[in-house]
Amino acid sequence: MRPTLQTVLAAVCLLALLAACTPAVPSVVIYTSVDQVYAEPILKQYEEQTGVRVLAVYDVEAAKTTGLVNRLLAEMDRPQADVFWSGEFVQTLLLKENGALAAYASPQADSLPVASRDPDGCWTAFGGRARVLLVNTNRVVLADAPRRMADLLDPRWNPSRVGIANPLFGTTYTQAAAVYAALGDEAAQQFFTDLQARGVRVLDGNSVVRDLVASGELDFGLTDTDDACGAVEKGAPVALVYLDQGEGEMGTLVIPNTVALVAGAPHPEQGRALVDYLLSPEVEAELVASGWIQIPSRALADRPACPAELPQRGMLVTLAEIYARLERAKTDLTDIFLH
Amino acid sequence: MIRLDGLCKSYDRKLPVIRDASFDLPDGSALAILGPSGSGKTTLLRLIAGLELPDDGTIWRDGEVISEPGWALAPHRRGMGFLFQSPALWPHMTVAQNIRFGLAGWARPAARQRLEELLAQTGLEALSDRFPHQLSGGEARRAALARALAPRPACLLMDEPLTHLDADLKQEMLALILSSAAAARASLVYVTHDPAEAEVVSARVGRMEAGRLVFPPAGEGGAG
Amino acid sequence: MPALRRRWNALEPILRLAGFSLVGLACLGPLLVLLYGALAALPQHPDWLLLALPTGRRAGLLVNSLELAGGSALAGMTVGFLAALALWRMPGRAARLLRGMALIFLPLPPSIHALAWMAAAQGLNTLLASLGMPEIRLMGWAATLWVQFMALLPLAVGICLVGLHTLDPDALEAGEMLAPGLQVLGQVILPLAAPMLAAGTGFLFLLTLVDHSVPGLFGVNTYALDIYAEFSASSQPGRALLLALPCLVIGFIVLAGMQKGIRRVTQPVVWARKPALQMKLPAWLEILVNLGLGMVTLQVVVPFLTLAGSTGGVVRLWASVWAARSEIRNTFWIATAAALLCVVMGWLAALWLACTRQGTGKARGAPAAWLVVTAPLAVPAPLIGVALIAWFNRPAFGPAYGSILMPMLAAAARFLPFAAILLAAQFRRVDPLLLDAARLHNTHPLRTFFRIRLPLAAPGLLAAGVVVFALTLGELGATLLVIPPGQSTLTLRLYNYLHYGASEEVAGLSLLLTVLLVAAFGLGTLALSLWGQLQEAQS
Repeated sequence: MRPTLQTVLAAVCLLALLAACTPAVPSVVIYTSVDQVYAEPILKQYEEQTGVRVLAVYDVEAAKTTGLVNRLLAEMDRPQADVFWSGEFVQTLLLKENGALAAYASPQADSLPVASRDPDGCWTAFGGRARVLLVNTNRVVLADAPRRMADLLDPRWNPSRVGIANPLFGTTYTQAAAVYAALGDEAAQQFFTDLQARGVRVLDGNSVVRDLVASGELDFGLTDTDDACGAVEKGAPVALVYLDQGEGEMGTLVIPNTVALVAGAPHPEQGRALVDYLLSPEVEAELVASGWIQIPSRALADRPACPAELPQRGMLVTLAEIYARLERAKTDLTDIFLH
Repeated sequence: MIRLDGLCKSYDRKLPVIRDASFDLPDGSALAILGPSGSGKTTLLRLIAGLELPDDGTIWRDGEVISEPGWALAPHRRGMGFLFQSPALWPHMTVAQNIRFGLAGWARPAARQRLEELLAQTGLEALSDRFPHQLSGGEARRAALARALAPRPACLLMDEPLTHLDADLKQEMLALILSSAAAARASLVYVTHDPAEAEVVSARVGRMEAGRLVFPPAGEGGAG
Repeated sequence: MPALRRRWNALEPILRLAGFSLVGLACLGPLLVLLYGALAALPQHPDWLLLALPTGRRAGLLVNSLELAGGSALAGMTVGFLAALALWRMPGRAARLLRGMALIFLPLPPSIHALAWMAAAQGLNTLLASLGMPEIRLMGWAATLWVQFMALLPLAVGICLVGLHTLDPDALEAGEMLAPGLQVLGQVILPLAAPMLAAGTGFLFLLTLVDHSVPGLFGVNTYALDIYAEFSASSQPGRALLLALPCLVIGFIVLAGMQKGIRRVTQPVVWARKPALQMKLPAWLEILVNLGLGMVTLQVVVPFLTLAGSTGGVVRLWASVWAARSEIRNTFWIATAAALLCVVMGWLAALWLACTRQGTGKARGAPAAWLVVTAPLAVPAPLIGVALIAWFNRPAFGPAYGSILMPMLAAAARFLPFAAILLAAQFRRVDPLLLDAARLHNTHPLRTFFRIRLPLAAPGLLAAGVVVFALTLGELGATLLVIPPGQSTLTLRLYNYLHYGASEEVAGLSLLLTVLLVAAFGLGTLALSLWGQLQEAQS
């Protein structure tokens, strides 16, 4: 052999040896549907504190929730993720139903309400966003704004200036299922049929509703508190209204975050540690401060300026009851809105 | 020597293009093939060149099989040059590059010398750096001829090479082809639809008639 | 020696079959994986079969989608051709710059185009309101058609330019000697450019048929939205695939019909450009051509002004770019690798699509080839991702799954049909005599390949590479499912910011996508030019 080739081979062997001797950095893989701008700082902080490398995959709203949940289901035979952190609960319950989650009772869950914990220990809920009506105060006097979901059908409002996100996707879909759970199938079906018949504008997502209300193209629209407060903080002429807060009324839906350990996770120990971290009061406080969570599960010393107040009355339906109405809601809403 | 023995070819079972074509072509000899358009002349040349496979029959070169049903010796190994109906010069190469393409296995000095010979032989010295689109029709034909002659083929196949040339240019080109073939001591199979042209090329003239290659009886100017 | 030749000749069809099988696997693999899953579930869910039949409400949605796709494709290619005609006839170096500018927003995702137009409409409405005039409502079918057509216009112009640029000026001038410009246009230019134009129309149609993002933004319900709604609610890939089957069938019919109409058109590939054609057209057609050019200008100016105006200044723009540096790196490598892979695989596929029985011009096995190659076009992007997970998430593939290789494969799986069809159109245009002449002098197959076949296919190669690169830049649905944890792409980051409402970052990253495309195009052209110089030095 020529000397050059010998040198190359020796170098390759040395590199391989070095690579084998170099201690591997511990890592944990998380799939999250929480907006990257909110989730990334939390995860980076965990990296700095623990020295564990966090490898994250972030979902995008444009994928219409066909992203990470389907990835987790497709990978079930050979999971790549350790932790699933969702900004809502429907996807998490779906994953549990398909056996994609592992039971883990985090000690951090003890400081959370009992209703926040899955009876089988497969997920834990914390902090949340509420479904609100975002109102453009230049177009509508706040005192005159709708106060109930049913008010969206009021003929005094120009339906082309009322907006909702597509009720077949995301938190609007979840809210629709909650309405089915609260009102019953027939009443809910009638409500959405009337809504569609009125000609209310159906938009591509909560952020689009937010932007159009903020710009004045819409008088008001249904969205989430994180989107709504984003518009408030940017100085848009908007205000939040919690619907159905009156006695005997439906109440406002609060959609919690959920955290779960993936079944068969490749790094279960690291996964449990990350779950504990995400469920900690400190992280919840940080997410409230950053604007992702507006409805904390725990009492906090400091509250952000938006929302100015919390809803007095939440919806009296459980997450499981809402989940159980999804199928019926989807069938009806597809027939009503998708033609 | 090149021998065709019972060559048959069809593209469509109902319509054979070549039926039972046979002839011998001794080294250094010339054969002209006459026939109207669509009579199979081009197909016959393509079979000899190895560009197509025969359905039946055999082609021999110096006692060795070079084409038979389902198999043909690769075209570039048959020692043949082909002049198509159109110059078919590669548009991204200059005249010199087109000619040198067939000299790939040659030593550089030998290849350079051969190139200069061919450029001089075909009168293209001043045009060696031009691209095909910068040549006149006659110049392009001469470049194509130089390319076909470059690797000193033992046999030249000409498919109506004077198409679309004016009378003077035809004469000039024909003279060049014949002198080049003679200088190279190459056999020549020359396809044309012009009887006068065929007679200039060779005393031995075959006719394509309904896919069959027919030679006039001995004594009438050529045999198969 | 003859014995060796016999063995090689016997081997050649086997190698050819192996190549075509590889292409078939690449195109049909994901679909077969999904079909297998769907079929396996059918015994328990026989009612799923009904999903494949668009009836009732779904039939209406499908008609909606077909009208939108047909309208977008025809409008896009018509305007694209008119604009390309204008750009092609322009002399001088400024024309080259204009041609590049026309294509600059090729990688911009359609939903970003939509947002740019919505912002423009808002600005216009403010002006109209100040003048006491009624507002323009950018909603509904017309708005969707407009935005879809504007978003696809760069692709249409690009394909038309490729089709026009490879025409032999001699053939056109020969026509001009005999007939007025309009007749030359109709009877010479259009038929000769037909392969590329037909391919482009098919692409635009299929890209629109499976897109849900733009219609969703303007409140138009389409069949694609139904597929996504179903998949989102059920998370059952089998159901979504069965729903998508009508799109698959339609895609095949469209492209198979197109290729039947493509006559075998062979003419010399013009390597060195002659001065542009000064063809005289009737006044009414000149007006239309200039209108087309105007539309293309609008398609560049409106998004550019909207995006540039939203970046928040140079400092903010730089901050967005710096923050996205790892995404930029990932995106560039993924798109480059996908383009190279598609060009190689597309070559094999194009041989299959364009191969003929010698002499008759009839395509051998063409219908089957077109079906196989076009299959991925109608499969929704997330399903491609799901199929790749099912295929590659196995111990046998080791570290490949979970590496940056996966998004490259996802993009290649989605966009191989584009490369194959563009290359097939190019192959059909090459004079077979040029290849026969090479066979006569072929001292080495590789030499003939690199010195003859490759240069003759160069326009198609560049077009295929650039189109796949551009489409990969904006790919979202499949990438999301296979991107390695801890890594991201520019488009994923862009959509995250979009949802968050960070319009400055969105604008900055959108402009960055176009910069990447320009860089890739420049590198591709430079590579071709260097390779040409290398060949010249070696001869």
